[in-house]
Amino acid sequence: MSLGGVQRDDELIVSAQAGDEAAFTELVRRHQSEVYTLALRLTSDRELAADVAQDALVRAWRALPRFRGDAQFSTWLYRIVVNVAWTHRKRAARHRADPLDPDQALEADAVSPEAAGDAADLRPKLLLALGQLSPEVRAVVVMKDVYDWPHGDIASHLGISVAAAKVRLHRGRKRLRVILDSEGAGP
Amino acid sequence: MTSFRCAAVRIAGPTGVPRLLGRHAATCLACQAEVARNKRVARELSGLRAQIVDPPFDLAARVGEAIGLEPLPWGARQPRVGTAGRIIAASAVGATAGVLAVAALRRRSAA
Repeated sequence: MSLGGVQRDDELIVSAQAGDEAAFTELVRRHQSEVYTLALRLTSDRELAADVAQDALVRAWRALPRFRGDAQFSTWLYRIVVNVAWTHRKRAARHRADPLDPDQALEADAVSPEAAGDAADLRPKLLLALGQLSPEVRAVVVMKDVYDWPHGDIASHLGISVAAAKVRLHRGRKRLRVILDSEGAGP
Repeated sequence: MTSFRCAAVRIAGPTGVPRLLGRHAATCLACQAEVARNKRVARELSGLRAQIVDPPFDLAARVGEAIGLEPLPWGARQPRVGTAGRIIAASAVGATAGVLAVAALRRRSAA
C-alpha cells in the first residue's frame, strides 16, 4: 500500500515488471545513488563508475521479470553492479596491461609501524588508498569490509574460490595499511 | 625493540591477533597500538557504506533513454495511446453521446 501517494518499492517493482517504464524510472531515481556509490567504490574512477551504474541499471530492467523478491531490491541491484563492474574490468584488461598483479603487488612495500598521522583525515586517505589497490583486490575488500558480503558470495561473483577470496582480502587489508602508513595516515 | 612476537602480530595484520599471541598482545603496547590501528581502518571501511556519493545528474535520464530504446524483455511492446489519442477518443465518445441524445429527443417529440 502506498503512503501519502508515495509508492513503495515493491509496488513500483510490480508495475515495472508489468512493463511500466515510469515505475522503473522511479526505482532508478531512488536507488541510483547507492548503485553509483558501489560502482565508484569498486572502480575508483568516476567516469567508469557512471558507465557501470548505467549498464547495471539497464541490465536490471532487462532482468526485472526474473526478480522474485527473495532478496531486497537493493541487494539484487548490488549483485548486478558487481557483475557489470567485473565485466568492464575484464574488458579493459583485454585492451591494456595492468601494472598491478593482484597476487604480487602487495609484497612491494614494507610496513612502517612508526608512521602516524592525523586520524581525523583518515577517510579521504583511505579512499585514495583503496584506489591504489588492484581492481581484483579492491573488489574483495569493498565487498567484504564495506558491504559485509559473505565470503561465498564474493567468491562466486568473482569466479574464484573462497580460499582465494580470503587470501585477497587479507592481502588487500595489509596493503591498505602499508599505503596508509607510508603516507603518514596511520590511524 | 620489536620482538619476534610483535613481528608475528604485525604480519597477521588486520586479520587479527593469532590465539597463541593473545597474551603477549594484551601486555605489549606496540602490539596494542597495531591492533588499534587495524581496527580503526576496519571501522572506517565499514563506515564507507553509509557515505553515499551523488551520481552524475543525468544518470537516471541516461538509463531512461537507454531502456526507452529497448524493446521490453517480456515481449512485444504494447502500443501506447498518447495525449492526442486520448483527446480524439474522448471527443468521439462525447459526439456519439450527443447524437444519441438528439435522436432520443426527436423520437420523444415525434411521439
